[in-house]
Amino acid sequence: MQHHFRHEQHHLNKKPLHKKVLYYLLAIMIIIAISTLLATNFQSVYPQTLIDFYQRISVVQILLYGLFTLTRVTIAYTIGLFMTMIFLFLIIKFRRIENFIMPVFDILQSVPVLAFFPLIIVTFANLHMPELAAQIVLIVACFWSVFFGAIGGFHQIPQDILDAAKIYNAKGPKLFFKVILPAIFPALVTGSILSFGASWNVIIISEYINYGNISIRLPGLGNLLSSSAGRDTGVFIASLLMLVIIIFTLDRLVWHPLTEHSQKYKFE
Amino acid sequence: MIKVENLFLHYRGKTILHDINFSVAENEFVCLVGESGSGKTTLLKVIAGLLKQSRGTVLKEHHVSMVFQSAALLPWLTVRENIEFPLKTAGKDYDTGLIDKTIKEVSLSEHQHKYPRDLSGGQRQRVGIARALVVNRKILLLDEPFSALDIKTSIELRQDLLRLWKQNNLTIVMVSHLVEEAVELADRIVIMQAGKIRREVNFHLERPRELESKSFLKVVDHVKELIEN
Repeated sequence: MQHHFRHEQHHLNKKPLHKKVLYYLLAIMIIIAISTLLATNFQSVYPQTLIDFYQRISVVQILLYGLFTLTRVTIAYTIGLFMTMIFLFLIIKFRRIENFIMPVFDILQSVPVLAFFPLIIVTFANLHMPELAAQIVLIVACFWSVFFGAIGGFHQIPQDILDAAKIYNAKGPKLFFKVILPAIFPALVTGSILSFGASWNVIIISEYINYGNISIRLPGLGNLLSSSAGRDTGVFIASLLMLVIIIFTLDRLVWHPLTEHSQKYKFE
Repeated sequence: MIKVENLFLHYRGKTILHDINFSVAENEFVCLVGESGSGKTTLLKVIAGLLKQSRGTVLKEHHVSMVFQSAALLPWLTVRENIEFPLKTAGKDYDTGLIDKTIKEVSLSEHQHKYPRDLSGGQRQRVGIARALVVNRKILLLDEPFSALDIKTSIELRQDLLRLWKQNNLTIVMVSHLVEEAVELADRIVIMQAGKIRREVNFHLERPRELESKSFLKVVDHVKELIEN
């Protein structure tokens, strides 16, 4: 359980808004500068190529690519969350299943997603379903965080709470939806943040695939980043900026409020 | 009434409860006392149906309610919602007047919209008691409900429990590690040791009990002596 992985940013909370914005902009610029230097192998960057990037790719296209990537990541997360709910329900209903599932999942989650990559790519590229290949790569990457978060949260529920629930009529689906799901909500939020993080890590390999003679390009920021790195610094920076904006907006509008709200569900 | 006969509980090769035989009459107040690990809470959980015995029988004429040491409240529900919880999960219609009455009985009217984290330990335990009362079950099991409270709150709650016991015609089995508490509340004390019932102590002290009286202290000393020896 990563209870304290999220930085609370108390030092920033005390600062006025314009200073907060300044610090965030500074952080974004440093990230982009370092990423650009790495992507161009520390070679010189011509300011002209940075300024006229919109002649090679439109802002609308970058926005659309951002939307495609975000949709892909969200679908993978939703499927991962749904699978987690099914496994959790089964584990609660048939406790012995856990003895089998956990060692298997423990081994599988320690295998890097790239190890599954050739099998997934060859299978789905041959079936002409590259989008499905990308989805599976993303699901394999993001599922573990939300699953192990949920299982960890379940094991943290005090026994007295489960006993009280049983005494007071909460059994089966009622126990699951009225007690267990709210009780694991904080762990689920933490797992979900990590899950999205894991997905961002693999957007490049899921959208820009080169394996043997198989070459797949899917519309998305991962593809854009990979194809422009070292070739077109302007497009590279623009797509990186788009990615940072999406991640930052998600954090502020979704994860931050959810983390705050989840405090209500924590046991003392 | 509760009747426990030839009850054994084995867990991972160990015998946790060994040949337990005892009964509790209707409207009786029985306290289980004994050292830590003597099997008091385990026996209470078997009576509640939370643990399944390996052998033997537990006969109960009614369903049970239970009050837990930690109060076991759901932190995301308000006081009122916690008390309503058993009725909502039962899926039957219920009278909201019953909730109001129960909240009033445990003196929580002004706190009913607060969350458990905003309550004191004593108030949380009152919510636990109210939740146990609202389902109108005749058997109430209590697992060291006052052990985490300060002395003043503990005294107040003990008086409240006695009032609610009489008012609702309850049959009570309570686990306690304090002999004084057991003698103050119970009609009968069951002493447990190493998973067995060592002795049952019947005594007749008039209620309300004088905690400083000679007869009260005599019973306390007698029970303590039995536990120590």
